[in-house]
Amino acid sequence: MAELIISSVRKSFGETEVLKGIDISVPSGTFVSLLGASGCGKSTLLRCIAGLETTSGGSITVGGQDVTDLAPEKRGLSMMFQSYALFPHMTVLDNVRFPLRMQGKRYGNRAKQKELAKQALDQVRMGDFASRLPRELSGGQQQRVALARAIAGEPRVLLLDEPLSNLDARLREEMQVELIELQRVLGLTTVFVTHDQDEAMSLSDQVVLMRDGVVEQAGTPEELYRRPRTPFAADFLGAANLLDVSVEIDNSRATAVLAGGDTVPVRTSNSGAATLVLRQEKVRIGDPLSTDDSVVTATVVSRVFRGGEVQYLVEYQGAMLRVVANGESMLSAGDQVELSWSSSDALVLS
Amino acid sequence: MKIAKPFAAAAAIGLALAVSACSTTSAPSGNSDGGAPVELVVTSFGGDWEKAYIEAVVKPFEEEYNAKITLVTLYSADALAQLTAQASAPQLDVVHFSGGQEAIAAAQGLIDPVDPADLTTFDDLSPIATEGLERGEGPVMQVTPIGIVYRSDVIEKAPNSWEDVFDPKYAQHVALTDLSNSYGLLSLLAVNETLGGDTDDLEPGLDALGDLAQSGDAIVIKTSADMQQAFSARDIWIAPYSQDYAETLRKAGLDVEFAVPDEGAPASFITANVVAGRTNSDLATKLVDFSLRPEAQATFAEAMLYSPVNTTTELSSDIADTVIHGDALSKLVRYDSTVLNERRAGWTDEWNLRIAQ
Amino acid sequence: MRRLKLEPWLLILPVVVLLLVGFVLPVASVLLSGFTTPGGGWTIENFTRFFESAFHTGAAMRSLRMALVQTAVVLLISLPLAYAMSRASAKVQAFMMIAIVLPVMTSVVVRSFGWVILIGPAGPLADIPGFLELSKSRQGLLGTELGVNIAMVQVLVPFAVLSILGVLNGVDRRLEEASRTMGASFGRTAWSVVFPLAIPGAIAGGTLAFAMSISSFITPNLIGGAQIPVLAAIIYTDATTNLNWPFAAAQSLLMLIVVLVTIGLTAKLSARR
Repeated sequence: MAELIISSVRKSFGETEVLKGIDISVPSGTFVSLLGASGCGKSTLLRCIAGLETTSGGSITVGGQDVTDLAPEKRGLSMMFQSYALFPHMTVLDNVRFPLRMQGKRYGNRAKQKELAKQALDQVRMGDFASRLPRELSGGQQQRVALARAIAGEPRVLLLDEPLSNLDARLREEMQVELIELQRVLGLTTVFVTHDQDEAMSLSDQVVLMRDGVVEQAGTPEELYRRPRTPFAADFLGAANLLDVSVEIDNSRATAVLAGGDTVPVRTSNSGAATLVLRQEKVRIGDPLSTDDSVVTATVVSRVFRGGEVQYLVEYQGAMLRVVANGESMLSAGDQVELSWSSSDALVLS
Repeated sequence: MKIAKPFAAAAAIGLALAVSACSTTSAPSGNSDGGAPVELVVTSFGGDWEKAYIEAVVKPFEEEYNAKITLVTLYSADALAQLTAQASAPQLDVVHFSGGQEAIAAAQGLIDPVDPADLTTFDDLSPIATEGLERGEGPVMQVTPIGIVYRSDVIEKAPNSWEDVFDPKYAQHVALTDLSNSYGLLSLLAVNETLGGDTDDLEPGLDALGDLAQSGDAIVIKTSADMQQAFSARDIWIAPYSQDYAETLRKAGLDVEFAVPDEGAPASFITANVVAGRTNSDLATKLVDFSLRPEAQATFAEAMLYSPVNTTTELSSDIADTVIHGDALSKLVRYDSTVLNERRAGWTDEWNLRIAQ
Repeated sequence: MRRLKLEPWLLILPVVVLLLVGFVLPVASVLLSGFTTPGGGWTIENFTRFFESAFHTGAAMRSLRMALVQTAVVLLISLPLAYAMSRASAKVQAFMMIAIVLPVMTSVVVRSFGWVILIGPAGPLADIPGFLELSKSRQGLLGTELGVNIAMVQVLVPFAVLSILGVLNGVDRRLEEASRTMGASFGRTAWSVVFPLAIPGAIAGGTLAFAMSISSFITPNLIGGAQIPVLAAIIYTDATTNLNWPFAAAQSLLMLIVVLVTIGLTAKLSARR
């Protein structure tokens, strides 16, 4: 396994600059997610790493070797595609053997290659399907085969391009667990592209949030969740409520003035216009737990029952906020409610 | 030749596709003076021949008889194929043959016999023009001898024998004509007779010409267009072929001359035939007669050096020596078409086998 | 319910009728006439004559050999060409498409004449020492099988390219990318991934090229001439010059059998995949 270092990578398609100088370092054996909305450049970056796109600037090194200008087949990586890209004219076993065959002598003769391919298949519990053709498999099975194929050639870095997005929710969760287990066992340096923040957070050692061709914020899932540096990051990484406020500092005590004139204590050292971030699970409906809590009054707009909990959409001074209450909460639209939160849970981004 | 009835119609469709001929329908209409012109569909050999025919026959005839003549370019073999295919509903009025096909057409009743009484020109015609009438064939309209066409700029002394095509000086510059073309057949027969054979024994000719082609000393072409190309672009100097085509080549700017070998020459006899089963066969007969008039014959001679078959034809002094006419005409060999048609297939197979590379 | 079952048949009825009247009946009649004598009786004489004639069997073998050679060369050219086209930008692909289809729109006769000039003794290639000696008659490639093959390949390539292109355009590019990331070079990717997937198109294109090649007579006539006789040209001569339709029909039937057997074999080949 090898360390992957991406520095100042740029990529333009004609006039459009898709990657505007990306720096990421992926330590050996770690699982990094490239997270972002579609069009943010995350897939392009992955393709640049794989060598399927040439970069317009910057460098990519794998295990200390500069691979920026190497052809894809010489980089020693492997990539798994959203569509799986299994070769339809080969059996499952031949698909998995393909990277071994292409790397020639290193994996011995035909029989030895088949044995290794079989082992890779066994690792994803697809050993029984070796002689099938890809079209005879279900989506989930094809996915496992694609994974087996991607790891069979012992890649220095495993690149995954939204591999789970074509699966239904249940299968997806199952695969997430298996994927992460396999990655840990094999110690694979993995770059995983996704637009799903839950998936990114549950799988990754590191999450790189991208936006418009730049890295918005990078760090562990906890860091990103707890300490987003921008309103965008806060919004993307969890259902957060964002309120425009203006911060006033008096005797080193900071107070945010909300749209309705309510004032709440916050922790910041910068005054002026800012964004107040309130995660939905941190906002309570009804009586405050502590007298130190901030309290505002809002109006219920809608109620969605979700079994264990109820999600409300409430309006506060023209802003819509999402709030979660326990399953017994029976408020209805138009009800006036008090929202409260602990000032330590309120994050101010200026 | 007959085709089994049940299949004839369908076979005709299939062959019509293959032959790719364009047929024109003519409206059977009432006749003559003042009314709409009556249409006649006439086959042509295209090119210079067609130009001369339009000049000599089509234009004056249309004026004189209030007719409208539509020319369809069809070589003899294709014309016969089309006549056969259209036997039950012919689309042509007058058909010209240059390869003896009139014998087959007459035998199968595809063309009508021409009554000498219907030919105003009959009394002036050379016997060779009318001898086929009693067999039901149309009269001979044009005669062109088969001799030796040669490049006068590279061959100084005019060839005077059929054996000159075997002269080593001309090796790799000789063009022979395939037997699918009747000029090729006539050339072969002439060479064969020079070498001691006859129509019962074609071996001497087949051997000699076959060897010539097989060794690469001669190429084998199929059509008149090929012949023009052979002289213009394929470095060919000498070829047995017809005088009318030699004239076409000369007019196209090539330095070629035509020589009649001392051993004598066969000739291609182009006949004009009235198709059977058409409504306007009277007018068609008049057209045939018209083409035998001395004026038309003179135009053919001037344009293509065709030997006139009307003895009253006056030739201008500058072609009088070149065009074979008068008594000399009867020296040109006309082979019995029936015999040739009968043996042609066998000869062709033999010939093909000898020349194939 | 009855109506529902009938509708598909009603839909294809016009095509079936057209095919029957416009193709099956005339062709069948022509072919059946191969078993008739010029007099109208039944016979197999046309077939025995064919097999007894060294000229005809020789020409048939030549046609078969040339068709196979041409088909092989056509595929060798068409596969990479179609691959390049399928992976070119839309603009380039459109341009190449025009360049490939345009010759098809011109007459085969015209194109063959172009070749006659190009490869003949008066053409530009004649200046190459030794070129004219390629034929015994010092006619360059005129009158040689090689010359006919070259000209025919040019005639046939567009058809093979189009049928292979149709298949390749449907092949997911990710397959090639996946192959590249797994250590396969461009060449090995083309060989191991792209070409195997193009086989259905190659089979279709190859079959088409074979059938067109073995039945063509214009180009072999113009380039090869009388000394390179091919079966299709002989059938044409037998039908038009010799007016021996039954014999021409018998030969057509034999040719049709060869083509049908070829199609049958290739269909089986592609079905196995």
